[in-house]
Amino acid sequence: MRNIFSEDHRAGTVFIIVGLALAAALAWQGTASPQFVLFSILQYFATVAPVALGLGLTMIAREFDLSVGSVMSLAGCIAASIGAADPVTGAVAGILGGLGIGLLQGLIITGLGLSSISVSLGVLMTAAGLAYIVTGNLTVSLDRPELSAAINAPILAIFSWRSLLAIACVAVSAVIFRWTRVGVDLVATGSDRAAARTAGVRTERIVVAVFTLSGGLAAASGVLLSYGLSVASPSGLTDVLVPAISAAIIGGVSLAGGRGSPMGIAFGTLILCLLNAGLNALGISPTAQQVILSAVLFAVAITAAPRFHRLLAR
Amino acid sequence: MTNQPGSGDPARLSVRGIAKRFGSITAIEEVSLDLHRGEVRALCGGNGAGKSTLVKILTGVLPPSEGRLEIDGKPHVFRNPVDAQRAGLTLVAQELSLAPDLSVHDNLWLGHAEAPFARRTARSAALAREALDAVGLEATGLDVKAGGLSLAERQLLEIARGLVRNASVLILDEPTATLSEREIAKVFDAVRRLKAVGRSVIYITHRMGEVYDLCDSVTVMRNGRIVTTQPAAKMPRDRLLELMIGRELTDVYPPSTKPPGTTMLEVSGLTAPGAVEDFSLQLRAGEIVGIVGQIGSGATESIRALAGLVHDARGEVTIDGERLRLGAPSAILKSGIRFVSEDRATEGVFLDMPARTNLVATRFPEVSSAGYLPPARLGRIAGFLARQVGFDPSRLNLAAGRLSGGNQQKLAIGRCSDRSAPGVILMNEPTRGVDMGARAEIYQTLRRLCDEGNAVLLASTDLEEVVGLVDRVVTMFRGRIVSIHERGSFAETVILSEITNAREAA
Amino acid sequence: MSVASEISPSPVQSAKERRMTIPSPPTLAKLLAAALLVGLALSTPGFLSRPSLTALANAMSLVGCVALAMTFVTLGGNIMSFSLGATASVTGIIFMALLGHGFVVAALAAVFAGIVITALQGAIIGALRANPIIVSLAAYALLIGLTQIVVGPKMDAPNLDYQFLKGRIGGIPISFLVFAGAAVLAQLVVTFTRFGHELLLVGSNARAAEAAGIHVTRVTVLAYALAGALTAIGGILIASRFGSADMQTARGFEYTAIAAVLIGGTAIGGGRGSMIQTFIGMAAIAVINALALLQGFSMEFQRLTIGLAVLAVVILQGLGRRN
Repeated sequence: MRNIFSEDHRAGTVFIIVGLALAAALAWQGTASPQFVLFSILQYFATVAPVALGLGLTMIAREFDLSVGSVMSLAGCIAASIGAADPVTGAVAGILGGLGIGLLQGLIITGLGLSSISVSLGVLMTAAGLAYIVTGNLTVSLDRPELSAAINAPILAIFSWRSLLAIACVAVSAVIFRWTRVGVDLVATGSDRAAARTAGVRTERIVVAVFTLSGGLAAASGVLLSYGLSVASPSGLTDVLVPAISAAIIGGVSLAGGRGSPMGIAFGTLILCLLNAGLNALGISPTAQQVILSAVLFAVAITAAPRFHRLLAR
Repeated sequence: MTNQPGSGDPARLSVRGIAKRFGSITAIEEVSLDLHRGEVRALCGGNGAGKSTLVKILTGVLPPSEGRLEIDGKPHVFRNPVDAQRAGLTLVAQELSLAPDLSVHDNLWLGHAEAPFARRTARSAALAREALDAVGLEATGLDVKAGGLSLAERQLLEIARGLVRNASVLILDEPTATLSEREIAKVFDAVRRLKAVGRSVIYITHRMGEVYDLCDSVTVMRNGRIVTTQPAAKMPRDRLLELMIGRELTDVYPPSTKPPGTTMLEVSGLTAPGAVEDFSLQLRAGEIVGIVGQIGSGATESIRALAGLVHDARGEVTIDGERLRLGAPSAILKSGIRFVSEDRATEGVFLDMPARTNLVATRFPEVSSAGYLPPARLGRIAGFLARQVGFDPSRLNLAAGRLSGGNQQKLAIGRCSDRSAPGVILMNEPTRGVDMGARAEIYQTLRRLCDEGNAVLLASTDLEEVVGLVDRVVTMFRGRIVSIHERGSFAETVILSEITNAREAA
Repeated sequence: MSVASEISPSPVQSAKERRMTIPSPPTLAKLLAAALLVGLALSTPGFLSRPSLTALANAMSLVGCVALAMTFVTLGGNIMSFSLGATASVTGIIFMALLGHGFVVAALAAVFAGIVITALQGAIIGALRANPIIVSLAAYALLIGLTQIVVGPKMDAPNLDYQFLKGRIGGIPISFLVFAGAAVLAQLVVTFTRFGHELLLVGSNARAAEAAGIHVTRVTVLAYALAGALTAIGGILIASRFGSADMQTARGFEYTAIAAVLIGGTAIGGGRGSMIQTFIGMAAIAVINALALLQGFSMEFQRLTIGLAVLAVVILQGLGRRN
């Protein structure tokens, strides 16, 4: 008899069930129009999905990019500071900054053979510090209401430019992952690094690429979020690390590497967004939602733990 | 039917004067050989002979310290494995290089120098299918995940990968270690097909039958050098055996001086699901018993199960009359069983810690009083243990990661010696990665420990070592004990045939 | 023809082993940096004045206790805990809430709460080998949410029983004495107890430790419990400093704490390091911050400097290991 907590489906199954239950709760409440509900789900998706995607890809490679949260807020701060004068330059600067930081991280990790957790911790703190310097420890207001309206304007009732970009990122990554050599090499790098190297895979290039991408995606999310809200704050506009990790693991990414995919990560993010919307619809306060989200993360950490099955076997 | 290479062709692979040194340690030197098109060359030699170092140089994993390499007359320098692959050399490794989470098709093309950018094309699928069929994996689908294949299928998959890479020289490292007769036949077929189309094969093995059934010629290595290279037809069997096993080294193995004492460890029906079945044995004080078998035979796993590291192991194990709880290393240690792991780096040695700490790591419960444990006490114990195993006390402060394999192993064994309370010492691959000199010292230490009342149960894939050192040999195949031999009735060929489950004429 | 085979001699002591006595470039770099810092400190006017040094001591002790707690986590190979800042806040709130029953009761309750909060995390991590980063993030989120709901944003002191913690003995702030005392005690635990030795081994290689018979689960739980106790002490000091406790003051303390641990020289992967080193690392950070202020740099540069210092230390440690 197959245990429901078997290898591939552990955390995911439970939360698909929870997510669907909450979707049902949403439908039942019916206070807001379905379009609006979908729109807000996708807006939250637009914030979390790129970050979860970047982080998830590093996890598939059996690494971990802790810095995604601060890179996101740094990019937002850079973009907002420059964007008051010229939004396009601001956005480009922010995203290039993210790509640059990611590239640097990847090079340090592979060039010196260091653990990605410790390096990304250092980058996390440095990027946070830079954000404070860029903004002078102030919240930067963009004062471009037409820009934020445009970014968040509903397209086809449920999308916005932000969410469309996030969906595009997912789609492009999914295609590359599923249909090209790069995806194969990525999975091999995370699945068994030594075997991949022996077979001839350029694992170092893969790691550098994945960290660069992670930085760029986090930056993109941060830039668009700041533009959309017309404000940037050095302490970050939203805590994104916890939802990103949860989304990735729910979506099938394994901490041990080699498992998961962009589609899975997107799926996991959607579940999370559904959870969020469902809880909102049920009138649960944001603080209580925090508690529930933490319970989700705990459950995820426990069920994904290597020795969890021993607990079950007792 | 042998394929006599034409004497006028340039050799497919020509190696001249290859040497590899690590600091002041020489792994191999003055290695030269010629391999012709369509030739299948057996490469034989015991652990530490230098085969794997040579292979790493041929496949671009390590650069040689000296020497030249030519392929079809053209000199080559390999800076990385991709260079070697492009030159047509490919390795089918013993530790397989398959990514378990990828499909068969993807694994076949993994790391291929000329792989298409698209993950899969009609052509890549067709070539993959062809290669699979050529090695006998007709029934295996292209989309099956490699992690789900049996060991034998994975072995064949690795060979198939060599075909996909259009390799001109394939190096097969003990490919049949875990295979059944039928599967071995498939591997042989695959090799013969390679030969028929002019590819060359270097076939690493220590099974006599394979050398004569499959190979055209044989090269024997010993202590980092090539001892001889000859056509198989010109090498008598017992001569080859002598070269491989090396009788004259048996004076390295100290014999036992006392008869065995009382039974210390009694194992009945030990089973580790998927690895060991119904393992039963009695171990007496003062004796060294060796379990010998190939990878997958269950030898290593039985030792690990007895050490408490297999959490779902079952069976009745009593030590000095007391029943042992399997699955908990700390409980096992309390009852006087000590364990030396086969995987030093991951499980045996604390690489960052000084040698001193490594020696006393298992001692804490005994030497601390109510939790109090001053470092000075540990220092004294470390010094004592170091002298017991022949470890230079002046090196006690060095980080274990900087010591040679032999010294690291001495640390692991030093942990087990305790004159006050004799116990059972379990060891897996006691001299893996250890040079000859340190090996001799380790054998002497083991024998001395036994003379002091301990009992040693070790598992090894090194036939020579087991046959030379132990008082009793237990042969295993596919998780079960085949038979137990007492000293005086060891015949290497019998033991060899038992662990390979082959019927060979002695 | 007999096969002439020589048993090759034991390897000559390799070149690497002989080189142990010469400090490697990374160590030289660290010594240089330390010398630079000391030199800068002594030459900055106003640094050695009483108010400046008192402020320094005060600044060290609050985060310092959390840094000591973090050291227990890091030494055991669990890298860091993201929940220590929140734990300090929560224990501070508990302390203030129960202060009406007397200082001792309130303090004991706070410490007990700290131990429970972290020991539970330690149990999950130790027994299931769950990822410590993720468990600590989950705990962080849980603490933030739960405290908000149960207690509310702020808890003021009901009386002045805690005031003595703001005082001084012989000119030295009591909070600093508490911190220093805790550091000494913690170091004694690491050096002189069986637990301490086992913790380092678990941090160095958990699999080998288990194979050697060490109870990895017990060691992990105890390490986290001690971390919780130290964090609670920090929480009490923080709450006492301001006369009230809230979730904001200690926010982000874990980052400074891990910075102190790493700058002090403890290995991020575990197995090497000490409490005294963390004490020194904490001092270094406090000195850098004080100097920056005195030299006229704004607050923002503090975070950046600390972040860069962490990055530099991580890189140097990695380089050092390669040698």
